[in-house]
Amino acid sequence: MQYQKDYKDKYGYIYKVSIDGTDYQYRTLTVGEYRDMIRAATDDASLEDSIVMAALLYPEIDYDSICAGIITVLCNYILSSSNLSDKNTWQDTIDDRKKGLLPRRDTSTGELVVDDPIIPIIIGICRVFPSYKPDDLLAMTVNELLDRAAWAEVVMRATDNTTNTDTNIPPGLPADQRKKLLERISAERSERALRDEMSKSKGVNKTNAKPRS
Amino acid sequence: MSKSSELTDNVTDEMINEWKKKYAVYRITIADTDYYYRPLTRAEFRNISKSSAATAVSNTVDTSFQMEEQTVAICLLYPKMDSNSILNVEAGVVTTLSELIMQASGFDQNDAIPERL
Repeated sequence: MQYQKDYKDKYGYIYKVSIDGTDYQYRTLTVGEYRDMIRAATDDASLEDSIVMAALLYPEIDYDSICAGIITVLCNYILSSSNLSDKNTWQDTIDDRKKGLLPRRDTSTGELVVDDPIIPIIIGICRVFPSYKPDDLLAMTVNELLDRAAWAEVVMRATDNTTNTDTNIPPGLPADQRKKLLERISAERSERALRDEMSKSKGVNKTNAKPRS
Repeated sequence: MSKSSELTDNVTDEMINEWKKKYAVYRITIADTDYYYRPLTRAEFRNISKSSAATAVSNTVDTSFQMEEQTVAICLLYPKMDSNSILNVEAGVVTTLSELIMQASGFDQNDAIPERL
């Protein structure tokens, strides 16, 4: 169905649940949306109302005349699908998802293997260019990604002896200033690497230059 | 004549039909008495929740009793009770009625498994 595809394009995951014979479709909430709603809510009922108002995609409902419990139950489903209902399980979820990102030791060979070869590439790029987030890189084409990976390897080699990025960032720096600083560090590293590469290639040219007759 | 039949005798078909034009109507017999009630709407629930939140801030009275009494006062169609007369009813009856009203209002519809589309 076209409208379901539109919702998916806009919101990512959407869910359907049947309550008392009616099908309801909803999207998940972002962490930011949920925090804003908690701050704005005056009581439990108003929090539930605002959660359902934000996440319910279909059908349209009358928030005054509907049976009171339907909103409460829908709200619980939305929170559960958004992983917001049981915050105690967050660390387990993080640990579980880390398993898919970190290398594991192959039981037969004893070697470290990575199931998804894109992961170490992304980690390498993010480490060298901290202003990139994994999601930025996952949105790139493979060509763009490999291009950044090549740059990261070159920059890494050129900056092996420089200080670690994190130690250059004063603790407690506001997020926007931290982002700017990280972008500047990334730019400086790229520039330094570029200069290194250029000086190397100049050196090569000099070596290969033939004396004029 | 039993207490139940006295009360039931007072509820006519016309009354029930009038209620049914506006609400889903339920009947329950508790301790030989017939009670007619309807579900709570969201707007009514919001008002109860707000007034309970205000009470909770202003004093230390257990707001759950207050919520039960308000719910029953709003949704009980017969015998009609207000916030004063409800205080003379057996304590457990109000709690049971409140639970049944919440059930009829959809609060226990939580056994479905959402399907990811």
